[in-house]
Amino acid sequence: MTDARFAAEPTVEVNDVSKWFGQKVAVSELSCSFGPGVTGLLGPNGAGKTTFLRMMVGLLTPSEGRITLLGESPRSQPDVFRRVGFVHEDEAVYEVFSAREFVTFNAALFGIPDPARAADRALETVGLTDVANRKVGTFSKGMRQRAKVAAALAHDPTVLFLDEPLNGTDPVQRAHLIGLFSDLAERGHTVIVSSHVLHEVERMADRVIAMVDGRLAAAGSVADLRTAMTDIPRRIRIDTDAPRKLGAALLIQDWVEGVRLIDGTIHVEVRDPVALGHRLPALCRDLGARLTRVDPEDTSLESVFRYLVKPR
Amino acid sequence: MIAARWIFRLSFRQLVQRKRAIGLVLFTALPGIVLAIASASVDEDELIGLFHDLNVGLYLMVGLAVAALLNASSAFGEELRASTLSYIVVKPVPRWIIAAAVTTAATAATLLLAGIGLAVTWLVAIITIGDAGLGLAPLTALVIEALGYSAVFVPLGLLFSRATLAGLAYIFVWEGILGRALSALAPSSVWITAFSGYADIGEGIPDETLGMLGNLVPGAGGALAKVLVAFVVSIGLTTLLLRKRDLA
Repeated sequence: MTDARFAAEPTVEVNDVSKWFGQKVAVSELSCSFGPGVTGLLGPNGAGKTTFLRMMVGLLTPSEGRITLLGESPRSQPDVFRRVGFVHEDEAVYEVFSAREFVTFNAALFGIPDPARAADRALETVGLTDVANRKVGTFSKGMRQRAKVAAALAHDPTVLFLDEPLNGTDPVQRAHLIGLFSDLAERGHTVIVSSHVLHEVERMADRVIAMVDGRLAAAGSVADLRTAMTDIPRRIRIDTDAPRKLGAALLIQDWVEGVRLIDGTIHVEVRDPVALGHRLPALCRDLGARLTRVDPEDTSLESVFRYLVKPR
Repeated sequence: MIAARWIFRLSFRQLVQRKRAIGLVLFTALPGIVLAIASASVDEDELIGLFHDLNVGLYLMVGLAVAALLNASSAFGEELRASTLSYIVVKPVPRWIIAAAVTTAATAATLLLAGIGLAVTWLVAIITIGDAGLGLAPLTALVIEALGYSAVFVPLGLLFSRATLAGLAYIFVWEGILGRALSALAPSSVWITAFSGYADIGEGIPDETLGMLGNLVPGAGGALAKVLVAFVVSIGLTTLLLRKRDLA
């Protein structure tokens, strides 16, 4: 059986990589690889995704472990960047440049023969031709994102790293960019996209590497991750005029993991929320209890990831 | 070379288009403004002495030094703070080319901004004293000092997040106080090195002002050679920092 952490034809390989800043561990003993196709790097804010991406493109040195990009170390062999594109998370762009100058600058630094033409092509790809002569400093967040993507695409990179590339974009721009990344993947490029939004990743990635607290939480296809998530107990808050009676009745159900009564409110942990939905009205009717509120708790992506890394 | 040209162009434009650029021009033009005011009440001989005193005490020691510090320390420092450095370093460009292009751009920006300030003083000197040759000594010192301070402060911007504060301490404590009090430290001072070039060319410099050189023998060629060596060493050090340090 193959290990879901590793790609079949790796272009980026990560071996036991850790990174710490003083006492703070940002990334801990990560081993995985990336190959052609779109891989989503998923995790809540602060999971270490940006640090990990920055190490993969050589902006940060791993405290321990080794990263190879197209067979080379990105820190010592800058020539490898001829085939690499990177879109960082920050909004920052060179505000003194127009969009055309900004992309031409990036294309020229990649060493391609006609940077101006490559820039025009890239700007067209992201739909910024009409504003190519406007200073990027005057752009909205979404337009800046597209200018950054154009700058990273101008040299048609083999490996593309994108740190939260859909931030600030509207739904139309988002759909366009997702289509763009999927096209690259279909042409055999390696696209690594970080995001903290599961449904975004789901729309573009064939494979997911999930991180929590700097550690690898899960790896595999989006379907694998979804399956893992269905096993997670859900916490549900129930307000009723008979909390003790209803809590006791819930506790003996075999799909209930636990019940807590806090300030007259029931907090129930269930393995099968659908069963709760079916059974709760009947239980209330039998007990003569009146429901005033039923709300799911703790359904954020972060809690899902925390569950995945929790020792069991 | 194409990459070097683009990086130079970017860094230079960023440095000279900052809002503070106007302030730096005015700051370095202060000697000219003071000279223009003083010319109404001082005779021509005294005016020549005042011209040199202002250039050494106000332009070389303070105005030009601060302008060079702000330009050089922010050349990489601002890129790090704004998270734009990845546009330059995640590229197939040898690190020494990045270091050389950015250091040269910082020097050029200082030459331009502090050069405008000097041009004001020079123009006032031509009008009030009537000697165009007076401007050659500060021009020589400007070139020496811009090269020297860029060599010191560009790598500082990569090393410290508060490089400007560290640079101010260097200028005012190390060079301003210790460098003048301990003659052994004088050769390590950029502004004194620039002043030795100034003293070699300038005429009519008051003896008291010349005394600031201490045991250092005036010499424009030697001073220029010294800062050029520092400039090359600085590019080497910056290259090393770009290879070894975390850049985000």
